[in-house]
Amino acid sequence: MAIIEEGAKLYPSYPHLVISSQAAVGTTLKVMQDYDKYKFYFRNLPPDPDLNYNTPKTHFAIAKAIGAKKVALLLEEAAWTECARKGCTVDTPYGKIEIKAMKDWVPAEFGLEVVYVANIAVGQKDFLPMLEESARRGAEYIFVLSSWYTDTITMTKQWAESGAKNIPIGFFGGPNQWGVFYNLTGGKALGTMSIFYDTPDVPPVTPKTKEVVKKLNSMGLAADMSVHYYYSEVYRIKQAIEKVGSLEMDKIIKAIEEMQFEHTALPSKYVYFGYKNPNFHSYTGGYVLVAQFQCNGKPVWITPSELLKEVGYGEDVQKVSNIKLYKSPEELRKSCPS
Amino acid sequence: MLDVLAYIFLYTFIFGCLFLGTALGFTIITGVLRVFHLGYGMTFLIVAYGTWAFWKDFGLDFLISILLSFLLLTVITVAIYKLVISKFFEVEDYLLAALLSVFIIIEELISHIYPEIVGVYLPTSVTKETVSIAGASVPGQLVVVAVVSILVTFLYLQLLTRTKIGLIMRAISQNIFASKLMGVNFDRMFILALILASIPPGIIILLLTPVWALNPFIGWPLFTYAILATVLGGLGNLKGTITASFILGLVFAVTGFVINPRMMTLAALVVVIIVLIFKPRGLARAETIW
Repeated sequence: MAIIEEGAKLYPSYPHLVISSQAAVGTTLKVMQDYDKYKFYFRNLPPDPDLNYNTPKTHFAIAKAIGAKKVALLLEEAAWTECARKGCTVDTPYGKIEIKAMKDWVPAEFGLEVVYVANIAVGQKDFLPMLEESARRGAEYIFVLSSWYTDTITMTKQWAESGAKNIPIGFFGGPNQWGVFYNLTGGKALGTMSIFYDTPDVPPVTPKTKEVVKKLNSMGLAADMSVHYYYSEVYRIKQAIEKVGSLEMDKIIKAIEEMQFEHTALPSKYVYFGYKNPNFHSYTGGYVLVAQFQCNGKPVWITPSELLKEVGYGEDVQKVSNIKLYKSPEELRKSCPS
Repeated sequence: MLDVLAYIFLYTFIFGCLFLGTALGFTIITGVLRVFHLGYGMTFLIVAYGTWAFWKDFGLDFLISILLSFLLLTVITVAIYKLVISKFFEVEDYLLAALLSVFIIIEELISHIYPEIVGVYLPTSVTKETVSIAGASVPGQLVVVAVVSILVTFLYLQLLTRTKIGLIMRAISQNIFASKLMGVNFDRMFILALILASIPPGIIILLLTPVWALNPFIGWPLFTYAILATVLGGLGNLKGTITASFILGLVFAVTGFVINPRMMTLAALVVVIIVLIFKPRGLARAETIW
C-alpha cells in the first residue's frame, strides 16, 4: 500500500509502472476508484478474494475426484488468507465480491464435509497436533492454504510419519512448488500434491512454458509460480513498449490493459489485465496444474482434464494431466523403491 | 475424549523432551558460565551444515562428517570464548551483542553458501515408522529424539554429580570468585563447559532434521525453545530446566490438541511470563546448577 501511494506522488514527474505480486485487493481497488491517480499499478496475481476461492477450487475438485468426502483445512494465518478464514465482501466500482469462509463454501459447492479447521501461525514448526487431529476426525483430504510463510517442508516431514500419513495432502504455495521439494523433504513428499510448474516435463500451458523452466533450471533456479509471473511480466512490458513504439507511459499502460498476452504458466484469459470487473489490473484465479510427487519425486499432473478444458487449457495440457494418474500415499509407499 | 487424553500424555512427553534436549546446553552455559549466550542457536547450524559440508562438498563418509562437524563446533566454540566471551565478560551488554552478532554472521554465511534451494538433507532418520500408543500416534523419529534427550540429560547429570569436573563446574556455578581462590583453572573449565554444552544441541539437530526442515534459520526456533525452558526453570538450574521442559510440553500438548494449535508458542510464552511475575527467578533458581 505504501508503494502505490508513493508511486502516485511520483508518477506526475516520473511516469513508471509497478507490477507487484501481492494479494491484498486494496491496491487495485484504488486503481478502480481513482484510475488516473493509480493506473500505473498492476498485480501479477489474482486479488486475495479470487486467490482464496477460485484457485483453491482445483484442490477440492481433486479431493472429490479421488473419492474424499471429508476434508481438513489448514489455513495460513496471514493477511492474504482472511477471505478464506473469515469470508470477505469487497465493493468495487466494477462489481461486488462476496466470498464466504472456505469452511462454508467447500461443503456448499463441492459437497465435502469440513471436519477440521486450523490456522497456521507464521513460523510455526509443530504441525503434529493439527495433523493428528485431522486424522482423528476422519479427514480424507487435507488442504493446506500455504504460501512462503508456512514451513511446508517441516509439515510434510511430520505428515509422512504421523497418524495422517495416509491422508492425501495438498499444498497451495511455498517451497512445495519447487522441483527440489522432494529432496528437501528427504523423499517424504512422496504422495503429496502441489500447484507445480517446475520441471522441464511440465505440461505446455503455452509454447513458452517448457522452454522457460528448462532455461531457469539449467541456471540452478527453481520456477515456482511467482517466478513464472515475474518472468512473464517483463516480457509483457517489452511487448507493450514495442507496440506503442515509445516510452510514453500512459500509452504503455493502455496497451498492457488491452493486450492478449502469452504467459509462461497460465492461459491468456487468466492474465488479461483489462477486465472491467473486480479483477481489473489483476490476474484472474482459476483451475491450475496440480501435480502429485510420485516415485523418485517425479511430478505427475492430476488436475482433472475436463476442468482444464473448461477454462481454456490446450489439448496438449489436457492429455498430460489426468486424475486417473493419482495414487494414494499408502500405495506409493508400498510400490516405490525406497 | 480418552484418545485426546492419550495424545496429551504422549505429546507432553515428546514436546517436553524436545524442550529438554534443546535447553540442556543453554542451561549449562547460563548455570556454569553465568552467560546468557545469545549465540547459542548457531550450535544447531554448525553441526547440521558442517556435517553436510564435510559429507557432500568434501566427499567424506557420513559418520566421519558428523564427528568432524562436532570438531569444527569445538574449534569455533573455543574461538568464541577466547575472542568474544573472555574479552567482554565484564561488560555484559557488549557480550550479548557480540554473541548475537556472531550467531547472525554464521547464519548469514550459511544462508549465502547453502540457500534453501540447495536442498540440504541429512539422512539421520533412525526410524520412519509411526508409533502408536493407546490410540495416539507420533513419528517414531520424535520418540528417538525424546529418548536420546533423556539419555543425554542423564549422562550429563552423572558428569555433574559424580565426577571431579562436574564438581568443579558446580562450584563455579555457585561462586566464580571462590572457585578461583580454590585454584580452579577458570579459562580451561569455561571452555570445557562451553564445549560440553554444545554437544546436546548438536545431537538434537541431527536427530530432528528428519522431521523438521533444515534451513539456515532453524537456529532461532530451537533457541526459543531453549530460552523458554531455561528461563522458566530458573536460568541455569538443571532441575528447574527439567521441570520447566515438561511443563512447557504439557502446555504445548494441551494447546495443540484441545485449544488451538496455532497458539502453542503463544501459550508457552504466556505461561512463562505468568510464572515469572510470581516467581521472578523462575521455578527453581538455585545457587548452583544442580
